[in-house]
Amino acid sequence: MNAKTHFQKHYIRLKREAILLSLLRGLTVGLACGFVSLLVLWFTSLDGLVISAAVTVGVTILGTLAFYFFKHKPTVKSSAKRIDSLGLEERLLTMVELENENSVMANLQREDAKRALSSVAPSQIRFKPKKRTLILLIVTGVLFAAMLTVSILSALGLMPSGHEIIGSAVDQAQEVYISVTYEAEDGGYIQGESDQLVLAGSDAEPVRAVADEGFIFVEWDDGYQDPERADRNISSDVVFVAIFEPIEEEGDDDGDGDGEEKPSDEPTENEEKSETGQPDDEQSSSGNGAKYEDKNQIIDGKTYYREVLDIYKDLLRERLEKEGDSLTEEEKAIIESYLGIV
Amino acid sequence: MITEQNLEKFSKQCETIFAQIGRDVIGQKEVIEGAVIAMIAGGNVLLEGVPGVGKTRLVRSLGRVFDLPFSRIQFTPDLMPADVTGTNIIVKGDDGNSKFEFQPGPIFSNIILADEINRATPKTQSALLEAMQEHTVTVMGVSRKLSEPFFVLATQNPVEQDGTYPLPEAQMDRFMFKIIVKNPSLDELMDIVNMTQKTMAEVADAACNGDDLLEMRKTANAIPVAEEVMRYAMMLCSATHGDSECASEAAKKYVRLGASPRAGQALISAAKVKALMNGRYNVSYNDVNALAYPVLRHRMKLTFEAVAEKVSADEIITMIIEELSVRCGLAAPKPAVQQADATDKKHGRKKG
Repeated sequence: MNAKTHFQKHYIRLKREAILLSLLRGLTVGLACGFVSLLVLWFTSLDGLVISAAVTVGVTILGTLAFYFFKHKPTVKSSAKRIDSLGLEERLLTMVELENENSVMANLQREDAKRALSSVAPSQIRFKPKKRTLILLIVTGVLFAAMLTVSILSALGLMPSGHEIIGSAVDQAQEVYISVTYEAEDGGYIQGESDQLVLAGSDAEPVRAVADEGFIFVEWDDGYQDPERADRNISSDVVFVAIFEPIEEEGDDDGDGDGEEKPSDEPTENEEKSETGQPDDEQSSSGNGAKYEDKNQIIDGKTYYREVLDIYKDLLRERLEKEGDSLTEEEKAIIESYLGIV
Repeated sequence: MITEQNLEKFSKQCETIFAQIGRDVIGQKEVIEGAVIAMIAGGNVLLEGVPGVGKTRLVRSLGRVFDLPFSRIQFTPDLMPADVTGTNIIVKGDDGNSKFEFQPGPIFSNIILADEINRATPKTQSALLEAMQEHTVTVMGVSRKLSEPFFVLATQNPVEQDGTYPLPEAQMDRFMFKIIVKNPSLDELMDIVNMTQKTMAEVADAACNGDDLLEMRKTANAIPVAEEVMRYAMMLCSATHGDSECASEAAKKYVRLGASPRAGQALISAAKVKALMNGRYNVSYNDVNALAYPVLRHRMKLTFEAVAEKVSADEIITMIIEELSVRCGLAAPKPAVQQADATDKKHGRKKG
């Protein structure tokens, strides 16, 4: 009689135990696969609850079968070990190994093992899975249930899909901020936000370079002439510096004592040479202390302030001549007074 | 060839041995069991305990119970190797000429009590090496075989380390078991005092002789060991090496030098005896686990971390057993004490 026949009455219990254990493990694998499939479908925004259900059931069945046939199916040795764990102290395991021996010791051992086996009732073989197996099943079960809930909510439109969440996260991550700084040299200040953080490719808030009393705005360091600027399509960190110059007092500052003012485009003897003693080819207003003259003032980078004034003067004079009769004395006085100031 | 009568005789003799030793030594069940297992398995025993716990009395009692010639060597720092092994002396022959004649030392006996072995110098301690392993003594180039069975039962005191010489690893490895002799419990102490008030004499009778002991060893050797149990035992020994393929985490951290292959041999030989003493004809995992302590505890050199964290060798063995049990998918190991209790019940011995 071979060893297997001794375990015959315990075999059904052992088989049931193996099937239940395989089912638990198969279910764990199935739920894990179901979770993964739900996760993938949620991220890809595909409607695949049925696919996930099929994956879960399919893998559970396949996993259970695989676990049973490749791992837990009771063999003679595994049955012996399992029954030994009930307190038989490796008697059956040794008996199985000595199955083909016929020595006195082997026979005595066999008799001893059979005696011990007879004291073990099949009902003592109870299915008691390991804590680790149960914990793993619970964890995968919870993950699967959570993912299923998320997928259903997503399918009903109550929450965004993984694809949408990831897309917005990526967009957010891709936003690059650029600093735009407006600085003023001595003699003025920046009106508006001088330090700005703007998204790459967007526009900066408009700012204005305002000269202090006794100073005048010349230009921005990048050559832009208008004191007010609104930079567009910013692509890299930039710093713009507003350049100001002090206003020189009008009067006989040409030094010739005649009280007549020389045109600024005809340099004086003092202005003819720069500090280095070389003739200064630059505009006379540059350098230290340019002279204020209406005709040198440019209001929009192209139009000279003086020209505008002349146009206004001509217009006012024309109006005064044409409509002089219809104007009240007071209005005439205001216009004449204004023309006198200008 | 082992017969059923051999097994029955083994069982009866074990019962008699324990009963007779119990007449001289009160309590110390695990110690007695360990010493008897080692003697049947053919191993040397190192008994470690504080003075007065009955180490020497136990060894003397074993000598009486096994009815074997017994020598006691009190190890002291001035003891020389020749004092142990014997030496050649010049004697006058019948013809009137002088000649060398070998004068055997106390080692030429069957049971040697090496009392306070760590008090002798390493040179003298080493005189025992050959005798313990090969059961021969070589003096002046001549090897002499010691009579079988031969055992060295050594004692050492774990305290009072001044003026002692710790046993070298090579010698430690030659002891099959290192048994810790603990202080007796209160009840045992009362029994000891009551007994010694009547007489200090040792009353144990011989339970078997040398031949019986050798036959018991042969019988125990025939006990089969399942391959998986054998593998587990070897894994247990190998797991004490931090760099082995089945090294345990505890060994990696706490063990500098693990157990030698002798530990594996000792573990299996002793487990067979233990199984047969328990009336079983096969070795179980529990036998191996219970014997791992006396077999491995003196064979492991601990790391500085173990010493600093006050982790003992026994605690490391417990960690290794627990780790291997999980790795091999075994049921939780039973503590060694429970094993001893089970043996007590088997032999009908009263728990102290």
